[in-house]
Amino acid sequence: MRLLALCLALALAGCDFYSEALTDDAPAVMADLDGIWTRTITQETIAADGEVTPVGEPRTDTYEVARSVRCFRLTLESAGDGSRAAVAYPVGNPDGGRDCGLVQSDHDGLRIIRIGEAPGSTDIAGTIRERSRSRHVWDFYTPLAGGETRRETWTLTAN
Amino acid sequence: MRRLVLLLALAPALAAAQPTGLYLVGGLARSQYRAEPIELFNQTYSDYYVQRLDGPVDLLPTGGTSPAVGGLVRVNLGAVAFGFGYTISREAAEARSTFENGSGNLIATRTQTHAATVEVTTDAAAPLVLGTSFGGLFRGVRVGAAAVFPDGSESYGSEYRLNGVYTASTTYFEAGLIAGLAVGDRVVIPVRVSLPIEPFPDRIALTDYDLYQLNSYFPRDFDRFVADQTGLDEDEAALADRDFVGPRVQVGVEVRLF
Repeated sequence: MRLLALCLALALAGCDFYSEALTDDAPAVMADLDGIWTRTITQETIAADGEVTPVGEPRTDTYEVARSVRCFRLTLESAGDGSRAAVAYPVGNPDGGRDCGLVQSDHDGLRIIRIGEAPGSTDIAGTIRERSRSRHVWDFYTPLAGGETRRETWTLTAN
Repeated sequence: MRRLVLLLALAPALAAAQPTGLYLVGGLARSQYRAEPIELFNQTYSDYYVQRLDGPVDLLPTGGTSPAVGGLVRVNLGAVAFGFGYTISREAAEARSTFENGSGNLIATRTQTHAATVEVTTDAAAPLVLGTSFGGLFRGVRVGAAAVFPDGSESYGSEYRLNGVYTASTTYFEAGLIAGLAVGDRVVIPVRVSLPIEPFPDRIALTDYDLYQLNSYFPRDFDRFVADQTGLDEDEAALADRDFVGPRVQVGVEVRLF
């Protein structure tokens, strides 16, 4: 009996210890992201000495994420559970200027990836700071001259 | 000498060394990786940032120690016993480089090893158990590289090429020796030392598969990585799955369940 209890304890400890490496978080991140959000974009500059300074005023628009979205006269569709199509437009004006693209998460749920948006059709990756059904926070960094860094934060809050 | 006498005196009580049965295996595994390519990365990274670092940094480990758990079926045929076992172990390490203003890199390395082994042991010198083993291994490697900014924030984003989550996996074989002490007929305390056998010559670079960039491998030679804008120098400049293969030592306990 004691041996069985020992086995059970070891098995449970083993499952807990090893389960982290076996998961693919991308579908869960994308499932949390489905919906219509208010997107607030803020920018800050991180100086070489660590001082953080806000840049300009925050911008707000509507950000819609789904397996397929309407983008001008086209329909943009995602492939698989690990990515989604996304479109941004002015608040209250779904027919206004539209910014379309595909987003996906990495397998660890660490990064949000904007597919093909960097020069040469390469991807832009940002770090996921928060993730839930009601709020997402993503940080995108850009190195500047003089050791400074620009941080652009996208905060999505559920409508 | 006193210990030897004590051991001999206790031998009858310890003798029934390794009966047929199902054993639970637990212990510690020490894996050594291929030192040369990993130290090349550590050295070339430190040299590249020599003006910004206080001294050389070892961002990648050349080995790791971790718990190992598994099971073993042993069939005792009299003179020898055959064992068919499986263990899993996972090593984790984290290291930082810190530049003059607090920025730098954070590197988190993890490996996970599945080992299926066949072993032949004898308890002719009971309570000592001696034998050999042969195994097939699957090892997964994950290296996470983040930039740390002067305000303390961390980023795995694409603003720096080194940032990313790099993975690779490899299969190989190993052969080794076993020396153990049987305690009664239920417990064996073995030490296993194994050397790798790599029949497959292919090297697969540690790659960030989630992100499309022209250069998405983790560097072995940091200077070549920086100079390689297009990723064409991957064979020479990248760390590969096989760089995380090496000798293993496993110490632990085997408990016969039934």
